[in-house]
Amino acid sequence: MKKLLFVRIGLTLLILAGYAGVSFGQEIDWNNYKSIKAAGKIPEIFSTTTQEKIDADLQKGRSSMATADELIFLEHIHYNLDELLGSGLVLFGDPSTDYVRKVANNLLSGNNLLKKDLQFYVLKSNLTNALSTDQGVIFVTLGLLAQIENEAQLAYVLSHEIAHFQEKHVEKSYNNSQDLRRESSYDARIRSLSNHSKESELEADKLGIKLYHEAGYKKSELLSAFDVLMYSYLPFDEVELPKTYFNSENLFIPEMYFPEKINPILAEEDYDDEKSTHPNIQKRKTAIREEIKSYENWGNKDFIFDKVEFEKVRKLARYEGVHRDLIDCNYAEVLYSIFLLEQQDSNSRYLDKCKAKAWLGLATFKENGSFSDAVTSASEVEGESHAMHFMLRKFTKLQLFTIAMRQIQDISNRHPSDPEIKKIREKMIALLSTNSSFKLEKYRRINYETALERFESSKEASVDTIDVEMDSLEVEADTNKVLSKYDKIKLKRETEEVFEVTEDEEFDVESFYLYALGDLVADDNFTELLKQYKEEADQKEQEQNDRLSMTRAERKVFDKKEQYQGLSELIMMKPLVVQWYYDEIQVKESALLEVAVRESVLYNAEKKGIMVHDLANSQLNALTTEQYNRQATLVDFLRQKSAYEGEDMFPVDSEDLKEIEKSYNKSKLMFVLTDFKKTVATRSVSLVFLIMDIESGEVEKEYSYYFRSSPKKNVLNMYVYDALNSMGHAKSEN
Amino acid sequence: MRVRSCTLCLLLFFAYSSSAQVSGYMGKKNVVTIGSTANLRLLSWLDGPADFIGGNGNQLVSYDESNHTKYSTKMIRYDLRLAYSRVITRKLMIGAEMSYEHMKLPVGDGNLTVSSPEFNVYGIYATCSFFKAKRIPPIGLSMTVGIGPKIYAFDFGNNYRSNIYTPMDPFPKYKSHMAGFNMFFNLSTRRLLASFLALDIGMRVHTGFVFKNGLRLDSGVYSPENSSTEYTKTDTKSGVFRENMGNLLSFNLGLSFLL
Repeated sequence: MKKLLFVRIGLTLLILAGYAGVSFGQEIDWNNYKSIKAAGKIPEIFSTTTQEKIDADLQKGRSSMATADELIFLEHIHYNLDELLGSGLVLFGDPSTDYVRKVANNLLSGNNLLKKDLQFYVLKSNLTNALSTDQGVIFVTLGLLAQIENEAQLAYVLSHEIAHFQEKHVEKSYNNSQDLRRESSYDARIRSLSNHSKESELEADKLGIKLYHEAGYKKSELLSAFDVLMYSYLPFDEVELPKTYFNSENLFIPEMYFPEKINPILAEEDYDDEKSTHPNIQKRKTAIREEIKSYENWGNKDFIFDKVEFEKVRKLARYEGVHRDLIDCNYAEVLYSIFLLEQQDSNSRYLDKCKAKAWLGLATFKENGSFSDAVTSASEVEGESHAMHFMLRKFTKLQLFTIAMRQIQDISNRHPSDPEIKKIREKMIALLSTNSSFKLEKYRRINYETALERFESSKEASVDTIDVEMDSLEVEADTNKVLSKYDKIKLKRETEEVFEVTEDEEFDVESFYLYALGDLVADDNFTELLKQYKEEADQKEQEQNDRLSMTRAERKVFDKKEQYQGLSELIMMKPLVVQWYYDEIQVKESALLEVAVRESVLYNAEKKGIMVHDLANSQLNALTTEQYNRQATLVDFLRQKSAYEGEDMFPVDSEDLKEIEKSYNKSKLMFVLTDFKKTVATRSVSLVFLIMDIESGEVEKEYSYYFRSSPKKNVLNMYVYDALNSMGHAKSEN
Repeated sequence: MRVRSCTLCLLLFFAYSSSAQVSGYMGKKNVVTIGSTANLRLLSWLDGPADFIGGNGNQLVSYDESNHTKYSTKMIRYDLRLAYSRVITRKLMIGAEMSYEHMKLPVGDGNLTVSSPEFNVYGIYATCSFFKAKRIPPIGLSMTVGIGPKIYAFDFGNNYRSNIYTPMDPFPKYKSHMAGFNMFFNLSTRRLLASFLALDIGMRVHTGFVFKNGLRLDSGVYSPENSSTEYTKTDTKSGVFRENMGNLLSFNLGLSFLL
């Protein structure tokens, strides 16, 4: 494997500090914010192999388990943790992780032994959550950091997770689940498991108070931390979306597109938790209130460290939350979060870009007919963000396309030299050009307000005309004032061209979008681009039709040529490998098969003379932090691609991807999916190789195989070789 | 000169294979298979013993060097095969297959003492294998058809006798070997054992006929030319024919070397 970007650690650290874009000493440039990245040296836990971890733990021994059980338990926890560590979602060395670590270290300042056993990382996820593992790795999500109000709340969450570790709740839970096998009823198992889990939670709640109290935090923030949890399904703030929010010189969205009343927030503290793993909030608060009584001399601090630092980290988490939602295609959430963030940063180029990406995404989902995947039904959304969902859901396809174009154009006007925004604009125009209902000639050159004004005056003029007609005798006497037949026709045609009217001759409010592109209708560059994309789309369609009209033999030759790509370099992503035994995922076996798939690709690529840039090392022991970040970016790219179900899209991290592509000599991205299903009697494997163009985000080629046997080394080699062979051969050679 | 030309042709054939666009498993296009087909003579057994030689029964009679009679039953018939095939496209492989079988024709029931006639049977087939789309030849399921001549060479090395006292001397009249024509349809699957080796398992339906009997057909046991023999040419030929037609289904097992 050739490591083009392998640099000495010191140099890498230097570069990464800049690459990450943010550090404690620096002010974050929110205007040109860059997505958060890991920085510094990859922690040892990332680079130690799973087997090494299991072996090390086995030597320690666990009194509560038989040796055979212990091995199964250790395999389970280590393979699961390593899967997470290798997912690209874990941050290290970045400001958010550093901050969490700082707060945690302060909590543990009186217990150095415990401090040594624990590690803290931030997970790039919008879920409001924190989790503790048996290995002492505690994760806090960006979603949690975005929601909390102060450092004390974070401190309590961390104390709670530390208590889980101290009390070995993971191990106890595993032992309990083993005991549950004896339970006959499935319901009984769930009840027992959730009861046990609830007991653990209450225990961690209570024990967590100790560290929190010792650190000198305020008593009141303990209970408010539960409010954070209870309302975590809502955005990080509740601000009414003004009905004029999207209005601009060229766009007016009528009030009818906003709900009369927003859906109320229905979360309750005393919900039914019978089958839940956590007790309900009310029970937890009651237990905490009781426990608080046993502590005296409470501190009065919301913050031990600088509040500004907390706010910076929280803002970082909120900015990153927008990024995560963009990747997961939660576009209504993106727009609402941007609206909230704009309260502080009204002219952020980053937020503008995200907004443009969200509108383009919305239009693409609408075009693909999967809009409900991108915008949740308004009836399911509580609180102020309901208005955003309501509005987006109410728009027709053409209305949404027009507003998206308008929004993107306005953003482009604000940042005319930004190449990414330029690309988004072009992509939107291309999308518009393929929409059969979009007819540029239907759009007016005037804006909504002018149209309405003209309508009113034309109405008055019309009334005048009627008056004139009614009083024709008088009018005829004064020929100078009377409109001729042709004048009337002209006037009528002119007014018809200006606005749409309803059946009862009133101004058609729903046609508001027809006045949103006035400037673009007159823009030669826009019309030229629209024409160009239309021609390109037609040409593509023509090519498809040509293929359909080919004879069987011609199509065979054509398809055969098409399967060859002439690739000499590839970037290999971490393969997605799942091994099933009936309907149960075998974690360890999946991890081992993943290694086998990766090795097979490397072995056969060498045979075929294809250079593979390996970002697939599941143990990360051969990756630099820069490669780790690249892998994380590419994983996000695939996540987005998967949300688009393979359809054409604009990658959220297009700028980072461009850098990656450049670093790897414009290599294509290879992603291998392996699904191995096993039963007592059968074996079947589905093996898919996706070749993607990073810049365009398109899947260029797919090689898929299905076979009914175990994916042993030789069998894997056969299929991997075959796929690489097709990738490596140029079309011209055939 | 001819040998040199053939060698050159063969080398060119292989040379072409290494540079050509690869269709087969791991870029390998040549397959050498060593195997065997076997069938259970179930129909013959069910049909009961024949009156004389070449019947459907299972009894074989032979004599050792001391002229002691040995009775045995023949329930399974098998042969050895060597094949070379070449992958042409993703769906097609062509080749040649050679087979060898030591065939013994059963004789009637337990009272008979006449030696079973034995043949060394050599076959050579042109084969054509078809693979399903999305398979990587030669691995996986394939359908093969083969067609080619078969030579039934009488095995003169045996101690043929009419009974323990009487050596048989029928053979000068049968020294001209028989020839036939066989064909098969084979359905088999190849599974990888190692990177260069695969296991072949399958079954084949085969049939054939004898189109040459060396001498013209006789008119049966009463014809003058058969007066001094226990066998008649007609019986022998019909025995061979029955062996072919009565055992249509075989199972095959082999090892393929992927080159």
